[in-house]
Amino acid sequence: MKAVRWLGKQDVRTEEVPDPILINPRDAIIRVTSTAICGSDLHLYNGMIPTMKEGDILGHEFMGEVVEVGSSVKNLSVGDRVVVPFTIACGNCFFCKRKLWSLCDNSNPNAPMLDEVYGHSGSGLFGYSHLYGGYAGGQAEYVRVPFADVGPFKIPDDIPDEQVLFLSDILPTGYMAAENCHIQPGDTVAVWGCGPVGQFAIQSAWWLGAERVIAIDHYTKRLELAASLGKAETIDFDREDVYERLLQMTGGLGPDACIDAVGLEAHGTSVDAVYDRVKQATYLGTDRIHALRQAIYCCRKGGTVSIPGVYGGLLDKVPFGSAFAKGLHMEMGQTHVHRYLQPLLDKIQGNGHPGYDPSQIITHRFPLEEAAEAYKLFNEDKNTCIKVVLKP
Amino acid sequence: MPKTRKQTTDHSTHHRKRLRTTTNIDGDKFRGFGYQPAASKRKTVNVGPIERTISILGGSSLIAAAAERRNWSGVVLSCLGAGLIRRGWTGHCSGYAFLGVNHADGKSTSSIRSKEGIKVERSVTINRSPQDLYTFWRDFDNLPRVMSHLKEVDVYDQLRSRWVAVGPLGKEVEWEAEIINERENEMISWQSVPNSQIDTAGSVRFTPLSFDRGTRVTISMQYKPPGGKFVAKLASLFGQDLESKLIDDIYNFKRMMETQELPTSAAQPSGR
Repeated sequence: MKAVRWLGKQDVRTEEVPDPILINPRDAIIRVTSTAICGSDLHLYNGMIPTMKEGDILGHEFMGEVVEVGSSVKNLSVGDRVVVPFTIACGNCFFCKRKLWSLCDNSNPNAPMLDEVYGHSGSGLFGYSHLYGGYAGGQAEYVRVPFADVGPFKIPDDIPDEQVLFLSDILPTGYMAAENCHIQPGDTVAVWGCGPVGQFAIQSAWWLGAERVIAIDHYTKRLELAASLGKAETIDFDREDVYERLLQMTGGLGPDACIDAVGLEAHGTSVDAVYDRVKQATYLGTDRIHALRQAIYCCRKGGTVSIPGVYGGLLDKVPFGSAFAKGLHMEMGQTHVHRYLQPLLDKIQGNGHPGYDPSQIITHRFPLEEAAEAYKLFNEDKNTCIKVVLKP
Repeated sequence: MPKTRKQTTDHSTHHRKRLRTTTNIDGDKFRGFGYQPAASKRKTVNVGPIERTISILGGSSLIAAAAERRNWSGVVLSCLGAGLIRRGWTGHCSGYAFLGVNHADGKSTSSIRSKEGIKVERSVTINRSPQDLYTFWRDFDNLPRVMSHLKEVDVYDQLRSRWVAVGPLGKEVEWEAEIINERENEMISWQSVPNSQIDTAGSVRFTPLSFDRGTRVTISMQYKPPGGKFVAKLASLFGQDLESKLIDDIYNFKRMMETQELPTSAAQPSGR
């Protein structure tokens, strides 16, 4: 089969590889019909995530058709159309039983390695380095799905791929980010980063009852999308001082909740952003955290900072004193995707109301063979390239 | 019922407390790991003579130093000093007692002397009942399925079995083990029979947790490495030490019990 393989920093290629096979009784093999490149795939592309090995198959946002099931998978049949959550969960452990799916105890075969790094290991992830299990990803024609009796979510035949593909990661991620804000009537939610997760967080904040949503970025096209699709007010951080503007907009209070949908590769030209960039370039630090610092600094006293953006390592110069002084709540973590599949499918289907169409954020479509070009474009032109879908 | 063996092990006071109850309930039948002769219930001398002298001298100088300070740190120092003098005077150290260590006589109460043996203890929470876990474990045939370093286990009878493992640096070792204590759904402990190729002992305890939290499993293994500590040290450089193996094994035991399979990406890590 053909698959997108990581060969080194900024070097991915679509190559011929052996087809996946069933290994365990709870496995299934999926023929991928649509897959997407995630902003977090760019962290891998740019070599920010350790323990990638040459040849690893990328991709954790995918859906397709079941072509083979293991002997213990009773809920799926060959031919079923499914979306697969990017977090792999066993369904049996302490965490899965409490619906903390992305913290599954058992799905990461390399858990002892992650224990060393983080103290404890989260769940295994598709196509996201060997720290997270070394599972082959879904930017391929076929993919092996472990614990297929728990993860894959059946999709009715009448909904096109592109409307449900993002249930695999970014739509639930944006939703969980907003849910973590514990929005109260009258609340203002500010969202740093107007990439796909930011766009879905904006939409979710409205669903969850926000009174105002403010989007912050410096890519004009992304800000335009946040305004047109997301109906958010916008701040371009290249043109305005974010703190001053937010305080002005909120009568000095600051936003009740701040969402950092940027993560470890924040852009920016302020002193601290340049400092992070130099440190990262010289391997003295792993994460650039400009957006997080600003979110903490701007947030209303007693408010919530919700972090769907990915962080991987040690954070330098976190204004923890500010967070403490203001009594902030911090919410973060990989998305418990399984929780949100049905509720968000309901939003897409509408069920009497006008349905939500997540495919509106897609800006580019490529055949799987042209993945190298797609990655390059997504990495270099973040203004016009917001979401890329690959078709095997 | 097991034949009582003269050699007994003594890991910790915790063990002792739990197992003393065992002895009471089951009479004198089980006298394995935790068995203690009645005399040892008294506070024993477990500090060597040189160390006792050092304790008294050290304690005295701490009190002398404390006398010069007229603040709270002086109080702390004099308490420490008094403790050390007491330790030297009575020859009993509660810290040693807790660790199951005895430096008073040349020999240890453990079948494997602490200086020669390597001991590893780990605990893990598994979302299954103690009954399920005990049943799986008690059938030693099951263990090579989850323990990567075990090649095979032949069960001879209720108490005796033969174990084959891949030891440090890939060398195969085998030994005969005997169950020296067990309580259904609670604990099992075993020990290699005398003159085995490897001198080893271990125990596993299953503690039920309330509020639907599963079972805490505490596994303790002790062994005298073939080739001595040097070889064991060497092996640890290659990640082949007992501790890292035990961690892998415990993970696998948990995974097998919770998910009925061992998650892996080994066959196609890179689609290669």
